[in-house]
Amino acid sequence: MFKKEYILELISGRLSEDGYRHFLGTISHLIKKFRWPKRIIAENELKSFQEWNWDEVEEFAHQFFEWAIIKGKFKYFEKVPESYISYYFHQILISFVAEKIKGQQKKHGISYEKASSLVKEILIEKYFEKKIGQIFYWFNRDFEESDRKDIDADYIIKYLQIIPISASTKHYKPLVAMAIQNIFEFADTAITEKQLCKIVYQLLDQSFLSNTNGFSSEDDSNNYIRSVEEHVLAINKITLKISKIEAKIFSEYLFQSTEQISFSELSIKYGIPKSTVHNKIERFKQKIAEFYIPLNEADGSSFIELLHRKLDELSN
Amino acid sequence: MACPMNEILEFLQSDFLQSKISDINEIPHNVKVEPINIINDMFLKNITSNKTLRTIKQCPTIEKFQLWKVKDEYADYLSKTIKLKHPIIVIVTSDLEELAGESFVRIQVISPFIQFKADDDVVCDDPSIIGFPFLIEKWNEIPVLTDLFDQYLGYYHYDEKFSNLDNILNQDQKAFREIEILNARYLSHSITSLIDFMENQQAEDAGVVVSLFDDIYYPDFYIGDKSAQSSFSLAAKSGIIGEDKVLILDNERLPFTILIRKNEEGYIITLNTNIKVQLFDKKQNEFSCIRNKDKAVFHKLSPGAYDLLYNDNATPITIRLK
Repeated sequence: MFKKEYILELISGRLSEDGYRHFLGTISHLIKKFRWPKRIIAENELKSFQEWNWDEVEEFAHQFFEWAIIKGKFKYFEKVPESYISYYFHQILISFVAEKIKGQQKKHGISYEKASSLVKEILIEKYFEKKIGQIFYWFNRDFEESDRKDIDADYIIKYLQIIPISASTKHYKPLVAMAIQNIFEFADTAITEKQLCKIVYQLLDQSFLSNTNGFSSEDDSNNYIRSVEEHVLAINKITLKISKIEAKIFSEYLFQSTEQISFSELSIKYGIPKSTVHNKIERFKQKIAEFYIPLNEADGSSFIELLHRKLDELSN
Repeated sequence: MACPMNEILEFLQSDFLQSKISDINEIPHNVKVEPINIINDMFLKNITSNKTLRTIKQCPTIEKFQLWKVKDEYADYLSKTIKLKHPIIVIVTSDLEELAGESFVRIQVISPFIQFKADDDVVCDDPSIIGFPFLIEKWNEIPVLTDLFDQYLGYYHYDEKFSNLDNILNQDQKAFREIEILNARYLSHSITSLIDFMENQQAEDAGVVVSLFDDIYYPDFYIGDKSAQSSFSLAAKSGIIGEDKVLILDNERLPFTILIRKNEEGYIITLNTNIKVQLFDKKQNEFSCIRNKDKAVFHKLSPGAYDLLYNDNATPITIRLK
C-alpha cells in the first residue's frame, strides 16, 4: 500500500508534497484498520481509542521516521529487493508500533484484551466452573450456589496489591495467575469471568503505580512503599487464627534483636515439642510468602515493622 | 528478547496488502511545507553514500543456501491463479530435484520479524545481505517448484543442525509459527497442484487442464471418434501427438468448443467460433490467431499457462498445457 516511488523519495531526502500526503493517508488508513491506540504517541492520552486527527497522524509519522533512522532501518536499503520495498516499509512501521505498545504495556500494564485472554486460559486450566441460574461462575474449588455472595469489584481492587510489571517481565501469564489466586482468596466466593477480567486488568494497571506515588522510573520503584492498608490486609491473612502462644513464638524467632533463639530453646520455654515448633514456624513463613511479595527493600521493611507490631499485639 | 505482540501477528494474518491505493479514502488536502523540509533534512543527513538500488537481476543456477524472492502470484497446474498475502523470501536447503519434468527444491521461509526468535531459530544479524536482519524458519521447510523463484538476492550459509529440541515456545511464538506455516502453503501448493494434475492428465506424456469460472476441467481425450477414458488406456499410453488425437472441452458455459492437439511444433488450440478471441501467456504476450469463417486457431504453443479472452469478457479462461 505504501507506494515504492514515494518510499524512494523519502529515503533520498526528496519527499514531495504528494508523497507526504500519501504517507499520511496510508498511515491514517492503517491506524484505523488495526485500531492502534493514541497512547503510542501521547503517553498520557487516556482516551486512547478516540479517532485520530491529522495533527496526531502527522506526529505519529514523524516519530516513526525518526525512529526508523535511529534504528538504522534504511542503512542497507539498496539491498532490499525492489519488489519487497513496500512490504519492508510496512514491516518497519509495524515493528515501530509493536515496540511502542510494548513500552506502554510496561508503564501502564497489559491491554484488557490480553488480560481477558489470559484469564480465560487460566480459568480453564486450574479453576472450577458452575452455572448458577443463567450465569457461569468460577471458583478455586468445587462449589454450590450457597458459596456465592455478591462482591464489590472496586472494594477488591482497592485492597489487593497492584502487581508490578518490571522491564524484565517477559511473560504475563504467571502474573495474571497470581492476580486470580489473590482475588479468590480475598473474596472467598464464586465470581464471573467478566468480573475477574475487570479486576485482573485493574490489578495489572501500572499507571496506578506511576501516578499516585510519583513512580515514573525504575529508580523510583526502589523506594515505592505500599499503603498501610494494603500491608494490614496481608498481615491479617497471615496472622488469621494464630494463638497467643504462637504469636509469641513467631515474634521471638523472627524479631529477636539479639542472637536468634533456637528451636530447642523455644521448645523448652513453651513446653512444645521441637518438631512442632519447627513445623509451626515453617508454616508461618510459607503464609508470609503466600500473601506478601515485597516490591523492594523499603516496602519490605515497612511490612516487617507492621507484622512485628501485629504479633506483639496478639501476644498480649 | 521479550516477545511482541498481537500487532505483528494481526498484520501477518491480514490481507490488507491486497488492498488498493483507492481503498485509502482519506488523504489530507493541505499540508505544510515545513514538516516536509524537516523530514527531508533528516533523511539527507542519513545518506552515507550514493548507493543505487540493485537493478541487475542475476539468475544463477539454483544451489543450497541461496536466498530468493518468490513471485507474488503464479498459475498453478490446475490453471488457477494463486496470489500471495505477503511477499516471501526463501533460502534453498536442498539440491535441485525433478518431478514430472519440473524442477523443484526444498526451502525454508525467511522472516524480517526477528522479534519472534525462539531458542532453536537461526537469525542472521547482518543487514547487508538483503537489507535487513532476518530469521530463518527452520521449522517451515517445504518443497517448491523453482518456477516460482523470481529474483536471486544473495547467499547465506548457516548451521543446519536442529538444536534444543525441547525448546519451549511462548504463545506469541506459537501463533507466529502457525501463521507462517499457513502462509507458506502458497509455495507448497505449486507441488501439490502438479501432483493433482499428474494424477488426472489425459496421457502419460502430456495433459491439459482448463480453469473456467473457478472450476477445473480436464478435456476429454479422443482418438478419432472414440474417447480414451483414462490415462491407463493403451491410447493414452501412446501419447497425444497425432492427427487423429485430440483433447476436447465442450462446456455449456462456453459459446464454443475448445479442441487441443499436439504436433512436433507444439500445441494447437482450435476454437470453433467466429467471435473475437485473444490468447495471452502469463507475461501478457499475445499470440496471433489464424482465422477462417468459423474457426480460430492458435498454434506452435509451448507448454505453459495461457489466458483466453473472448468477446472482451473480463474473466479469462486459463488453459494449462503440459
